[in-house]
Amino acid sequence: MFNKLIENSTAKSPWLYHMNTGSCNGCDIEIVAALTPHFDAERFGCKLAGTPRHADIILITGPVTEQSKDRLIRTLEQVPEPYVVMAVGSCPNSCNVFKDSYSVAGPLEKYCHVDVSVSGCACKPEAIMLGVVKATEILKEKRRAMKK
Amino acid sequence: MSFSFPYLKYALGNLTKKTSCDMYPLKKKEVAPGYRGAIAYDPNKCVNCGMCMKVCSPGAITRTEVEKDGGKEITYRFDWTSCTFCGMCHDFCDEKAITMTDHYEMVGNAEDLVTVATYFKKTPAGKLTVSDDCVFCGLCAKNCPESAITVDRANKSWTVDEEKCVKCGKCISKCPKKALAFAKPQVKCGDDCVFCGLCAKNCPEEAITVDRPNKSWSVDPEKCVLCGKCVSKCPKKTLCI
Amino acid sequence: MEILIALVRILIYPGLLFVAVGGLLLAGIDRILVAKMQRRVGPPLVQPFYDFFKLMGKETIIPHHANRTAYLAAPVIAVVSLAVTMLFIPLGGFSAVSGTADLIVVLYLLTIPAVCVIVGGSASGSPYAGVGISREMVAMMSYELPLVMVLLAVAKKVGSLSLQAIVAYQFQNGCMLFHWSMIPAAIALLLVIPGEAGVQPFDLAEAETEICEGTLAEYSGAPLGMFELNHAMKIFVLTALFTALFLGGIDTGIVPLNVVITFVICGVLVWLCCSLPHAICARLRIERLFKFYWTIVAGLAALSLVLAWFGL
Repeated sequence: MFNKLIENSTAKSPWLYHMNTGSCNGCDIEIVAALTPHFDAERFGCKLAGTPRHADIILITGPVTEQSKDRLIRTLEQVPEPYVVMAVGSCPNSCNVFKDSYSVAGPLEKYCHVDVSVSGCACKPEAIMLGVVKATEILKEKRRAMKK
Repeated sequence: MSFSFPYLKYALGNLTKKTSCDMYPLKKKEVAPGYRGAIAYDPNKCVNCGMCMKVCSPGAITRTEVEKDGGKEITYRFDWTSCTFCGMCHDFCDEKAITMTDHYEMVGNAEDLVTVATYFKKTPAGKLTVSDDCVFCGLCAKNCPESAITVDRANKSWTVDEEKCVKCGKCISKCPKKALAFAKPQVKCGDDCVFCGLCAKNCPEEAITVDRPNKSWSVDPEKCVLCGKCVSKCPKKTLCI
Repeated sequence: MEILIALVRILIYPGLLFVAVGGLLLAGIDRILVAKMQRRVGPPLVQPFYDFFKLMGKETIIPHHANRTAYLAAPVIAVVSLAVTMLFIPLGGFSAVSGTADLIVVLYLLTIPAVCVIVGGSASGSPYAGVGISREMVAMMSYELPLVMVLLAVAKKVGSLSLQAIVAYQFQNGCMLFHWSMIPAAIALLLVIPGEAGVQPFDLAEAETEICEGTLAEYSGAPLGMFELNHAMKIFVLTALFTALFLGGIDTGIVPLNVVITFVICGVLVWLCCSLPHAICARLRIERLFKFYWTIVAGLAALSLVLAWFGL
């Protein structure tokens, strides 16, 4: 019973950690917009956490640049299980227009498993929220798999 | 130390007001007019000119061509996770096969976030040609339904009457030496040409060169993809494939 | 039998379980009210419960540089000390433990959670936590002085350091809030509560946007959940303390009804001193926080103390 309680709670309290790996700020603004009164992601229990240790969902924006590559890997190592990686915008998914640039080491799939992709350039806050809702389901499944 | 609380009256007033939240996943939201969302692609309109691939800055559009008898199976793949939604492909598509929809809920696995469509494009047949392997057996002439082929075994000559040929391909299938084939068709310019240069301007591959002062018109068959844009753009209707 | 009753008091009512559930509910009310004031819908009422249980199920990472024992013990000690504090505070005219000078015990017990945050933060060995604990220490120094002065003013007015005696005094002479000389002290305590609980304008030690959650930077999983619980319990304990000190004279004759009324008053106090500042204020700088508590708040408390000294 206690297990079930934790499982349900995991799906209802996703804390977000936002990481910018060389984004143009377009998607970052949309993530902040998703928390404003107009969209209010807190309805799903979302909270912007300040450190990866508190995070459940890692929102990554930007094509992974050479400078941010090591930081990205180190940050993802610090997140406690279970967690979900969400690629926000076209950049982390495919490097977008920065493809084959000398300073870009992306896309994100090279360094970690991407659970949810949200595309758009920049993506709408609605799409980010839909992605978070999808991520909570994956989070619940991961917690279930962790217990087995 | 001075204190002022400019937001106090709003905070207290908001306690009784209704929320300004959209309640998004429960209530679907209409997008603003002119919003560019996911790409929709109509393969029936596409002529495979490849202009969309050329203007796409992130390289989100890929094309695969599979040769099949009598034509090509062409697949266009629009990768939403790579797209910048600039709408250039839509603007440059003369046939309006590409449109930007208002679908913005592009969420899921990266593999699912694509528009893919396949269509079959018949290669227009050119002139029937014969190679050096021909043994002048006459089987082709015998099987031709229109009697367009004449073979003279004695003089080792092989001719085809282009007026009569319907390009059915029966001769090709009957040839024992596989010496017969349709040549790659070419764009041809008729006598009515006024050398306006519209065909050259609209050619996605820049295969056509028009020299107005010298009244010359030429096409580079290597570059030509036979999309037929020049034919549809010709004001004098003198171009043909 | 006596041991059993003591155990029930410590673990269930009015100890650990009661404070935990009440505190988490108050934290939920706080989050909804903040959302309401910002014209949002806000999370469900039981959201702090979800947060707590989720954190219980997460992996606990202990950093290499951390002192394992202090790192893991700090949140537990904080929660236990708050549960013990509640035993001394009369809820609806009833307190589990009473002594002759329990105000002083409450004062000491209330500093333990803050000290635990400092100990846990320094044990984690993170530079962000280092900045956080220096801020927490300054904040603690700032609000301790007015808090002591408020408690002394009330004690001087009643002439006793026992909380039970203070509540009994209010039963006879009416609520302390309606004695005009005590109003400055009540306002001072209202201003101390958000500082002590570490909510928005005074949450410098856990400023997530500037120093990555400060003292809690390295905490994850169950210990972090304990600190979340600690935060929620602190709100409940402090508002209950305010009710006992200044609104202790409310009595319907039935203890459960008194407790419910107390809880409702706690909810109103949470709105007044946690949600409202959160909704309208930005985070203060550390020296402004220090100045604010040692001038305005301490001044209000000192005014009450002087008035009480002259027997007004």
